[in-house]
Amino acid sequence: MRIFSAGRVAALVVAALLGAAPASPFAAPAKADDLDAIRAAKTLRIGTEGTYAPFTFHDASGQLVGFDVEIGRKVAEQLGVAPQFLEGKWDGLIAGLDGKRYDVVINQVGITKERQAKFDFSEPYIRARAVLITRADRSDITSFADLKGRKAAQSLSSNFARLAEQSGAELVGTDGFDQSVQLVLTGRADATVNDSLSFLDFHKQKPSAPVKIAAEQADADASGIIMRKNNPALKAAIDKALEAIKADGSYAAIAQKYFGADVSK
Amino acid sequence: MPHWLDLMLQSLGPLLAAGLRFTVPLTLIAFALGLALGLGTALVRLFAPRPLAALAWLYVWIFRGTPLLVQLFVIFYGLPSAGILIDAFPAAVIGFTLNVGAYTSEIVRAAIASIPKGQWEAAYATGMTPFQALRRTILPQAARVAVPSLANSFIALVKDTSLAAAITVPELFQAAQRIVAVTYEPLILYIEVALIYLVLSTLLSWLQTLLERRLGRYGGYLEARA
Amino acid sequence: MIALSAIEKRFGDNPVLRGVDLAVPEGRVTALIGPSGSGKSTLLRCANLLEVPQAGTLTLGEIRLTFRPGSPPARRDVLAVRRQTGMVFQNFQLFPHRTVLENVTEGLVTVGKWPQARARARALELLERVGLAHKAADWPASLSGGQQQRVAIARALAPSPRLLLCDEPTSALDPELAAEVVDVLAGLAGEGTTMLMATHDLRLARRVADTVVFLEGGHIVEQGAAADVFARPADPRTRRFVRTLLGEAAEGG
Repeated sequence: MRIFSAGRVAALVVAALLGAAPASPFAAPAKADDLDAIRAAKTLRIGTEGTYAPFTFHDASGQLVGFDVEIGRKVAEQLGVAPQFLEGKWDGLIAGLDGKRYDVVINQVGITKERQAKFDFSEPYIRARAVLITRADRSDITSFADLKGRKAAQSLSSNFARLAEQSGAELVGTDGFDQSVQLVLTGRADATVNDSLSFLDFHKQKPSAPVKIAAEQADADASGIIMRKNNPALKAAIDKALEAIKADGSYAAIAQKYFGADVSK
Repeated sequence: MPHWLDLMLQSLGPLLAAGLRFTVPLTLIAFALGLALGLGTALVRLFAPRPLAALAWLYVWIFRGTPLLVQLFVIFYGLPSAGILIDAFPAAVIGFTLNVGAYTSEIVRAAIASIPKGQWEAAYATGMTPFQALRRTILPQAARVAVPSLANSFIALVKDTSLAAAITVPELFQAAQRIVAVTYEPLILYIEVALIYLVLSTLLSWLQTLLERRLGRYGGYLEARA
Repeated sequence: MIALSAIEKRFGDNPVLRGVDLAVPEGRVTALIGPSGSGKSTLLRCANLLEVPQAGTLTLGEIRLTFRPGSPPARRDVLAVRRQTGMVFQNFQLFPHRTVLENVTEGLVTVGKWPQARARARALELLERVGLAHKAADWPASLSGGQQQRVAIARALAPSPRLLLCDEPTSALDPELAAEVVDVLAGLAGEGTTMLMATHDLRLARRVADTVVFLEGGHIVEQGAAADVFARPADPRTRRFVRTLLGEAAEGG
């Protein structure tokens, strides 16, 4: 799940403000569930960024691919409709639900209280947790506490930098995960803290790079498929679809393809 | 005390510490080495045999024609792939030195070329070797021509060292970034750091004026007064 | 014995000196005259190797250099020749970043490795002789052209060269300023300084030169005692040239 981009922070704040507002006096009377409209149109309109590898991006041939995209395709298949991906900038994605531009957004949207006040989420389809990454040959760092007095390569403004700092690490400022891993690989930093999905993606791209997860945090952050509130039939159908693709092995195949690991827990 | 002033005063200590530990040494070392490199390169381009001069030209062409930030990234993040691992501060010194060397070599070359041929001949006529002529007669005059441009390079370098933040050197600008990351006050901190750079470059401009006055004390060039 | 013999010098495809023989008698003043492009300045500059001839021989005391195309003389020899010659340039070419005194001591200290104090004493003595001891601490830029040229003469004389070369020493000066330079050079001539000068200043040549050499097109056309050449030039080309010089001198007052 993404938690850093300024856009997301802004969206979060907006969501929080809206959530805190009193219920609208113009609340619509009981209405049909979105699921009916989707079924009628035989199309599930999915909002996604298309620029966030490995979740939603364009491959070398220009095809829209990625973990979230493939999950979306499978869910649509389970619903018996065709998926229609509509790409947009992150800042406008969730707002696009309100504007009825999309039926759902599948884009690593973290499940937060603020968002839940205004929208509904499916059951989580992916989980990420903070992990501590070191060189594969380091045996002296096995927990976050071992960071004390060591150098952690971090993007200075990220929450992971705060986490490393709270564990007593000395920060080495970088501009992103790739640079941080590079510093760890070359021994210029002892470790870096990041999310497990980024690590798995890196590991998938460069399987021979000698880095490992030395420790991970117990709490995971979950992302779900986000939809407009009060569409119980749609939420139930999507949850059922997710369950089905987990059961038939297609979820595992997609996870394996993008991360080489199960990312549902 | 208003919040912004309080924050600025609290941040001043760590910012100045980063400036003194990294920005100032990086600037001074890189400029001293870069100036020596620039002088050597200028002399090679002016006086060395062709293949060597071509090599010097190539160096200047590459380092003037590519962004400094890219050069720093190649040295710090790129070279390890070729088995060359350089720590952040030395990598920054190397990057800035090479960049300063390329720019100052052009300044020095132009300054040497601007000294009239008659000055070389006057030096030779007294029996000086080419090296003596260069050292005693040409370079002191070229220095005066070059000082304004060199001083500008120096002031530019002070500001450019903020790029070292991108290769993990915890210098002045990165120190500000760190404080912003915990206080969420980018406007106040970045303005404060801008003011510190402003003070530094103003001090240097002032030194430049003093130096120019000292070098300029012998008056104008001597041309025929027919 | 100071002599240039069979000197040939080309700039690219352009021959400037075509086999020139010139002996400079010691203790006397020899003036090279001739129209622009005659090669007189180039010949002068060959005497201290600011120009290196393609062919010929230079004899200066014990030094004897033979020139061949494509094989420049050894650096040691070039420096030896320059240490035994002094040169005064048309545009003075004082070192602008050094004081008047330092201009004169520069060669003594840098080239001759003289101690500072001795060089200073020698420089003051020479500045006295050209009448500028009171300007010793000044910057060259603050002097008049005539004063600058007199400092340049002191600078050229500092290491007591065997030969003083003067390349158009008065032609960048107003007539009044030229006069003070002519006076100084005349004084030196009277003391027996060996000089070779290129000039088209008739007053200078008539007053200072013992021998006059007329060049044209890279050849020596005529040479002889100054009085003879100016009064009774033998060659028609010399006659024509001397007439133009006399005309200029009349105009210049």
